Amino acid sequence: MDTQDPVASPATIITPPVKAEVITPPTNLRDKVSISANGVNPEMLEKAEQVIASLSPSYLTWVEDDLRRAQALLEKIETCSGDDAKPLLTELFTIVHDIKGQGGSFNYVLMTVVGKYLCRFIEAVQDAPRPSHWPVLRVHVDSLRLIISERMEGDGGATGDRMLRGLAAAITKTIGQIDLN
Amino acid sequence: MSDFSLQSTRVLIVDDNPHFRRLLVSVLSSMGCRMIEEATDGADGLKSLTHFPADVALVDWRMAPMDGLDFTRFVRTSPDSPNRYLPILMLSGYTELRLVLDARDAGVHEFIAKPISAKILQSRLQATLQSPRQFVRSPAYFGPDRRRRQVPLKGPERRKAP
Repeated sequence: MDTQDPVASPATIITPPVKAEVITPPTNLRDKVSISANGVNPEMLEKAEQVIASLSPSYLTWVEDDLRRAQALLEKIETCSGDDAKPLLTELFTIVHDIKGQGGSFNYVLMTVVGKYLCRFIEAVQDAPRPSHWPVLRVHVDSLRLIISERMEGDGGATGDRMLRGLAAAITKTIGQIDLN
Repeated sequence: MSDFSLQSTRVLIVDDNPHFRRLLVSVLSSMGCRMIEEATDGADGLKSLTHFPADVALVDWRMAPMDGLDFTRFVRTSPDSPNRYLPILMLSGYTELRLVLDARDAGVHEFIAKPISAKILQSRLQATLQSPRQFVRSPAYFGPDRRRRQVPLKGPERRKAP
């Protein structure tokens, strides 16, 4: 027998709204940064961009080192039979993620895009890696190396476009369509 | 001539990648910043804050042992936090909406997608330093006001400044 009082049903209890407090933080930040009413000096920004450009030779050294490490990991992965590749894929992801995050800053936008494709692919297969995935890893790492060895700055033009279409096709053929953005 | 300078601003950089730290240090230096402290992960960043009273922190997401999200949560909510109101700008290659919302809910001021440019870094720093955001304290959140746009409320305003 149902003994519940329909009037006092828990479903009828309305929790009062919880109040949030708005706080104006103590700060003297405005006094610490100097900026005129007109905004930012474009010369300063240009100087900052030049500083980034001046680091390009260093970037090439860094990224070549990253690519050597990626290549070494890939060679180990290619000897794996499946799940034993998981920790290596995690390591490879970390390296490629850094490559992705740096390329565009140094006018190697194509490195960022190919790096993004490879990160998305690793994310898609990392729970159940299989040897059929290794060639896709290989073609991406080879593409990254090619971009740097050929100094393909910017988006790589028509060559870059063909490269990206080829990589997307390789991914789709192997594991189906995935979001590469 | 208009001008922007970080000469008197203390900036903490928390990133495990030495190359990215070098990039940030170089760009900040070109903006006049002379007081820069570098840390290699969130725990190292917290240690730095004990002797380096940063005005703003530029923090990567993925780091070990303590990542940028845990760093932000500690700064915002721990009783041992050296400055709960520290402006935190997260710089990350993880740009999926869900992750950006996680960063916002942890209490970051701004989210900057890598790769960065000098212009984006400058504009976000300027916005953060020149227009300090109000903070909100509720049972579930402490951090900068997450409402970025002023939209008319359908009901009464329940949040009142003290």
